[in-house]
Amino acid sequence: MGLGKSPNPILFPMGYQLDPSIVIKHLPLFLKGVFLTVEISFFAIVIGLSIGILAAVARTSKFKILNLISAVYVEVFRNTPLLIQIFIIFFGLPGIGIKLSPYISGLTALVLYVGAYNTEVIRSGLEAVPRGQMEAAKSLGLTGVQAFLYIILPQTVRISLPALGNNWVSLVKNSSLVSVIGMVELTWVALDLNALTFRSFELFGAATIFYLILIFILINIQNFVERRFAYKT
Amino acid sequence: MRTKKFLVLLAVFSILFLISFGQGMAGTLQDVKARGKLLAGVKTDFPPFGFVDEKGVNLGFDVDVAKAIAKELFGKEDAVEFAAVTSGNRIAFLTTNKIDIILASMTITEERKKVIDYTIPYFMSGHLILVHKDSKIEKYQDLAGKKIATTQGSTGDIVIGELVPNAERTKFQHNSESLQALKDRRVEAFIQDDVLLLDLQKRNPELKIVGWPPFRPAPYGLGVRKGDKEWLDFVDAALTKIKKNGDYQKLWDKWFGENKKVLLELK
Repeated sequence: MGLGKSPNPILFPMGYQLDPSIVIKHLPLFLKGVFLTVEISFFAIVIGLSIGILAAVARTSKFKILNLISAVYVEVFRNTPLLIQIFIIFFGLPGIGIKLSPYISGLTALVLYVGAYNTEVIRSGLEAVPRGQMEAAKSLGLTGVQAFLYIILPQTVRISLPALGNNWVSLVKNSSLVSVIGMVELTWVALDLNALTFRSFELFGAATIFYLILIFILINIQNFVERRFAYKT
Repeated sequence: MRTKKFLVLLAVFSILFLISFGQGMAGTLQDVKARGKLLAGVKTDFPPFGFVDEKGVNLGFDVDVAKAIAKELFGKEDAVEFAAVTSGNRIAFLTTNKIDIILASMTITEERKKVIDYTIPYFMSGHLILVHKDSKIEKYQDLAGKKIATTQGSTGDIVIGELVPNAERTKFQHNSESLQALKDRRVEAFIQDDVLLLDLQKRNPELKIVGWPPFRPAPYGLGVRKGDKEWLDFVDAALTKIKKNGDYQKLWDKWFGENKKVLLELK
């Protein structure tokens, strides 16, 4: 599948022959990559949200030690490049006897990364719920845990949703970095086919379109959830 | 509203995709002479062909050949600037005009010939297998069903895919990562060109090389943009000249002398 052999090459005056059929030919591999990108993004979003809620609660708790652990976690993972985190988990940890598979390494890095960003978003969401709400809930006879789960948390999630959505969009884009440890996701597929067929424009162009579509879908899901959570007026 | 915006964006992108932008086919030789400097794409993770020392200086056989070509062009060896390329991106670097020539331990293959032109061969290489000392793997047939590492875009990856299609391949972007995966025992073997593995083995005594003699031998060539005959002829003439006057042999001995007995001969 190279120059001159494609059934209907598009000719350009400057001498570059575009050959979109390369993408069609390798569509199954591309779809496999899209599927893995969706899969790891989904797990990272779900697990990362749980981590974000737990770490944000720790961050705002009265216990100094929990507060400190959460603060260190957030600062370390927000202030270092994700690529370095992936390399440390995959290539660095075996040095101290911890050997994780590429899948687990990549997912762990993404979860910890998005979790740190979620923590900050949810923390500000928690702080945005008026203090009086907790007091009011307690005066109605709810325990502290009940008040948090039924009164504070739902409001926090609603307040935090738009910012969480931003984190999720970044996450899907950043998931491309796990290609460096041999995970066969969308970017890896484009890189690998490019290394074999050298049709950079067609292959990276196709990857771009796939990412645009994925993120378009994600944004629409997020808008839908936001509407469902909105105050009914 | 959002849907409409998205469709417009998608349409704009698709149009860009279709009109594309071709690269000028003006002669590289004139460009290089006008610039006063050769732009050479070399590797940084492939000793003894292309690597960097502690100070970040490019070294290796490919680097020295680039200097020899610069000498032919301008009469001085240092009229060359190096760009770091990998097996996966070197052809894109050339076709998008980022470099004038590829000197990156590149095997001549039919697939690549459709996209670039090759100079006359300048090295002969085959493939070998790097394993741990305690490994029971002796030849490539033993790799069936095993976890192995290869590097994206390398002939080692293509060749082993053809010879042992049921081996479980993990492809990394750099040789250094493939090697690390082997050292961490994530994979049982790393398949690459003989000359690279000889160097890696020397620096990692816990590993050994198996699969002798080197399988699927193929010559290396320098790569230039397709259809640029004037530039190709110039580089071919420069290579022929250093082969005749003995400079080529001196460079070969400098970088490969210690492995003279096991490396294949370029005919």
